Amino acid sequence: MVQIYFAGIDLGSTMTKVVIVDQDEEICASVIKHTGAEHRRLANQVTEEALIQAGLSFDEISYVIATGYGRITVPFADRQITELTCHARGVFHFFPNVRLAIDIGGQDAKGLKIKDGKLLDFTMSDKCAAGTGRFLELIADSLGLTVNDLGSISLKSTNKVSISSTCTVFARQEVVSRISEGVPLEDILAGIHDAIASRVARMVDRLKVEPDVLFTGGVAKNIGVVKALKENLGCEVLVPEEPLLSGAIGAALLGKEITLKALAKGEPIHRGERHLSEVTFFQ
Amino acid sequence: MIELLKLCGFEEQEMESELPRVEKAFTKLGITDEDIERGKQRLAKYYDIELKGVRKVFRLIVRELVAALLVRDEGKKKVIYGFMAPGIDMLGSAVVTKSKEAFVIHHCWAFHIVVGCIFGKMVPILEAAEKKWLKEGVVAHCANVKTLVGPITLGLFPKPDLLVTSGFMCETSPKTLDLLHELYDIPVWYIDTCQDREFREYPEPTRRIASLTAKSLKRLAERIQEVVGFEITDNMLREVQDAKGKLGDALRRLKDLVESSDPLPLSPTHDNIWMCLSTLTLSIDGIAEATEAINTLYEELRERVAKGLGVVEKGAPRVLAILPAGQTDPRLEHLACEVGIAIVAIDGSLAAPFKETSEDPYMKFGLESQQRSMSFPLRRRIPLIIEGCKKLNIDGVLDRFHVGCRSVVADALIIEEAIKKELGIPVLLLEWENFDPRVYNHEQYKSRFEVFKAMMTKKSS
Repeated sequence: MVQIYFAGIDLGSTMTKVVIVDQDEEICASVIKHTGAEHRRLANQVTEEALIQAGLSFDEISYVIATGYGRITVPFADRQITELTCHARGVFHFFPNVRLAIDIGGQDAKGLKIKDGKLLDFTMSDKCAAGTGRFLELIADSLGLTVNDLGSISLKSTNKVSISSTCTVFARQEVVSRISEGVPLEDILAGIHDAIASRVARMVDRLKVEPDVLFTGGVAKNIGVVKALKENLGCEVLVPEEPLLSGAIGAALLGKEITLKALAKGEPIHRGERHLSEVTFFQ
Repeated sequence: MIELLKLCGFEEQEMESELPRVEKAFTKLGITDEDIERGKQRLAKYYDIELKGVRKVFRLIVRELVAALLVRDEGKKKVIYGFMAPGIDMLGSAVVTKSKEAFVIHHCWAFHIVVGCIFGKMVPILEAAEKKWLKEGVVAHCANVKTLVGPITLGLFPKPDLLVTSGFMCETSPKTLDLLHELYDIPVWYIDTCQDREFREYPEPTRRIASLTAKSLKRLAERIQEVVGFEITDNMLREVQDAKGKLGDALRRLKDLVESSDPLPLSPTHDNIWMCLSTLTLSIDGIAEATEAINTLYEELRERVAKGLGVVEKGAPRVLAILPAGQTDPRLEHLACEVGIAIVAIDGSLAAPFKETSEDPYMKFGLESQQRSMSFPLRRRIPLIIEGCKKLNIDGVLDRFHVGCRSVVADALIIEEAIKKELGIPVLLLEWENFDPRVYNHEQYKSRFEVFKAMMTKKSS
């Protein structure tokens, strides 16, 4: 039987993710890279890398869906679908009982109310950096740490501090003040994580928190934030093995659904140009 | 300028008399050649300006603003302003019908449309008000009062002989007029009524409240009579009400056509234009002209509907919007169309038939104003919205709630919950400021609209 493959590209503000799945919904390849200014060149590069990983040529990909903030800059995508829709589909793939998904990415935080893989309601916090990955990057930077260090350090806390500022800039100043007061680093970081978690908990409260609750996005790799989120939501929080890939997985799976639906109806499948062009902003 | 005026429905034969007036008025506003070009582009982009009916309506609005700006230059001896003052349009229309020496402006509507929607120059006006005492920020002072204070502080509108507001719609408004009185010695007046009902009356309209409204309006009429020097009779008001009734019927017929058609034949950017038209203090002849413009548009839209033409594709998700469209900025409604969402109606146009009316024009006003959607207490408004959604086959509800308005902001979550519970359709809550174009964030709103559309499309499939 001829295998058919589907690709999902999630071009986020901080990270670009590509996933290739086959018709059995098995992941054949996945690539994650930092998004830079040249979205279109990067989309090209990561897709090439994923194809090499999967041992496929671009012609063998039946459908390509682009999602994320940069989705319109993927010239070879067959379709663009909003990230929330892709995300809902992606989380359902691994966690069919998920009812609430919380995604904290580089520049925004989102809450998705889901049922059977369909998005019922959503809420977004995208007006400022507070409560996002960018916030953690700034804090790590001001403490001379990397983002990857924050979680494990914060777990050592025995007396977390309260960070009162809701603004990233002022929170950073507050952290510096606390350091100079001699407050242990782990307590400060636990307070920072709690600030993010409480903000997110307030945001999703409107969606009514009910299990299963899933946490995705780059910030989900921070075990300190995961812990704080559990405490603030008052329930267990699941985290996928690779929390960055939900959107790309969902995009690929939606591509599969679109393709199979069209084939079943005998309808044509509208595709983009089938070549990876080297496109830059300066052309 | 001539091209712009043609886009706004001015005829060739009236250019000789109107062009100098418009140029003089626009010079007062600081409108430059660059603004004119931008105005032409915005008219073409955001409005269905190829329809003669739309152009005729713009003509009325532009002429009204020009008249307001040149009011003293053109020899009007008595000038009255109404701001957030229900009933002033009725009294004002009676006044301007009777006398060429008096002028009544209602609520800066024409200013919002021309300066904001057409030229996109509302921000300097708001900043002028913020330099005085009104705070910046979406949840600080409502930009509506800034659109009154700004032009006055900039000297765009001459000092009126009377400035009228109401106390029952908003407390920021009477306090603002208080301050304008202190700072600029402008005579002010408040009309008032009581929106609360005793528990046994709640939530239906009551004669008790209507008579309070009527008394307050009568006192306002007496005050206006002192200013203008002639009596405003009941017959004058009845004639205005009849004329406005015909305009209302014409607008209702137009809205019914738009609401029932697929694809949506007219952009929802025009929703605030109808609101403006309904509340301009036109003379009876002017109201008749407005009615004719709407009837012309109705026929044009019937043709569009017959040809299957629309501003979004056929089968686009049908949306009911809660609260009026942006008064100074058409971009949000335009974005909805670009994304492929059909905003077919606003809740303000959902009307239950008037259960009670009166021969006395003041009581008639007092009774009928209680029976308009936005005047309803929440417990009456929610069923009306839900019935409207069912009747119009609505796929989703957009609540662009004005966060600086205490009258409406509290309702948003309750309305959302009720709609989801009763109808199970998606509701998009958008934090919004109806009068401040600075809140518009294209990417944020586009993201939300796209997801909203996807949710409605999935639900219907």
